[in-house]
Amino acid sequence: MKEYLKKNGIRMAILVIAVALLIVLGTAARGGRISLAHNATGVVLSPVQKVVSSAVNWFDSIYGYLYRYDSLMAENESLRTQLAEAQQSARDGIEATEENTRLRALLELRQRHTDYVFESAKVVLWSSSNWSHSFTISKGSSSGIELGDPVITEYGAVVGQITELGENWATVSTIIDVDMSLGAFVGSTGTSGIVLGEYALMRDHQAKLTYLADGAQIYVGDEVLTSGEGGAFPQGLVIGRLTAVQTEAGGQVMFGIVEPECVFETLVQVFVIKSFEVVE
Amino acid sequence: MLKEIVSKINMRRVLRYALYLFLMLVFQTMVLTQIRPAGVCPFVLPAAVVAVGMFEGGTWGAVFGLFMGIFTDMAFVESTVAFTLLFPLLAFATGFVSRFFINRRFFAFMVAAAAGLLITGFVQALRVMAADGWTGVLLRTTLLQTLWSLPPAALAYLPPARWIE
Repeated sequence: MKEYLKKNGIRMAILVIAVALLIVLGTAARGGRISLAHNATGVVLSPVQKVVSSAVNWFDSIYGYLYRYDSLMAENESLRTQLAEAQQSARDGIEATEENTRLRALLELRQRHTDYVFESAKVVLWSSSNWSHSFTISKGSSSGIELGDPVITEYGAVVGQITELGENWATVSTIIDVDMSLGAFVGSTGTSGIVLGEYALMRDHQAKLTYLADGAQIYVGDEVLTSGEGGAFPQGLVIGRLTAVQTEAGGQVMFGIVEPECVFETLVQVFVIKSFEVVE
Repeated sequence: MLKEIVSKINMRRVLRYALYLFLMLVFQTMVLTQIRPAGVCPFVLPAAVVAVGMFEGGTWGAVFGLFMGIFTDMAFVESTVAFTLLFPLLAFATGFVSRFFINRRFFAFMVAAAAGLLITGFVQALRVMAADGWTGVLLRTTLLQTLWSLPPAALAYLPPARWIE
């Protein structure tokens, strides 16, 4: 046993640690940017991911049809009256119509924020990790997207930030991810703070509004917006609403629980803000 | 050791394990991500590493684990080298244990895989714990992740077991 460990274990440990050190040093040298191998893996896997994503959506629709048959029958009568409209909708293509709706909302947002430069992208696949909250999108550096770019919905609700970037793909970490933090202020009172991801809250699709100023007043139902501090996010984007106001264990420090405006489960398309005016 | 590895390289074997690694990664990142009972996704990759460690021995298992670890770190945004360090260790430990203490039957594999999955879960939880402190949610996620990963882990056993036979 000892000989086995001595013969194989030590040299293997040195090899593994050397490789790990190379990765750490390489990552540090690239300033958080991904490696060539990482990018190549993403480029190769991206089309496979898209095919799997489409197949899963198809199976999902079949599953939904089979198991919701009874309720579909009940709805049938009322749907008859909408048939003509539905046929028109079907002709135009439901997906195209939905995308049109999203783009109309985006146009409205663009008219309000003329300084924003958008890039639309499809949500390809959610991460299978239970320890982060992120997903892959269909666009990358070839579309002008950069690391740290903010990602929003068509209604201007904050989704997250680009945290990994490949040629034709990017990873978006959402605002509830444990590694995320963004400057925020409460709309009604103007109280500023920071929205932080916390693991227990992330599991419930919530985040924490903390680092509030002394004597700050926050109330349940208050709207939480981006403050634009740090320049990572534009000012005034909707993060969500306060669903609870609590105090830390010592009873001294107050914090709020934020329910994001963005409904992550239904995300199909997102918009990356490639450029915006930073308000000092 | 490197000389030994290089001299023993059998292209067919390397290609088999490369394909196994690729398929397991695709299965994890594209199929299992759709299955989330109680909001927790199974994590089958440690079981694949344990399987290779068990059937190929500690050294080859560690080499496989090293590559699997590198690709897993690439796939998961939250880790940089955690799996690159952990997976070779898991594979080597399994190779060592299966050489001296346990057989290579399915039940022994499932016990080893459960241990590997649990260790992986705790290592993943450590990172979050460092930032947020220990909460019951971490333990719940770790245990559920281990539990949900056991049925797909059985699939990881079959290819190496067949190849060695």
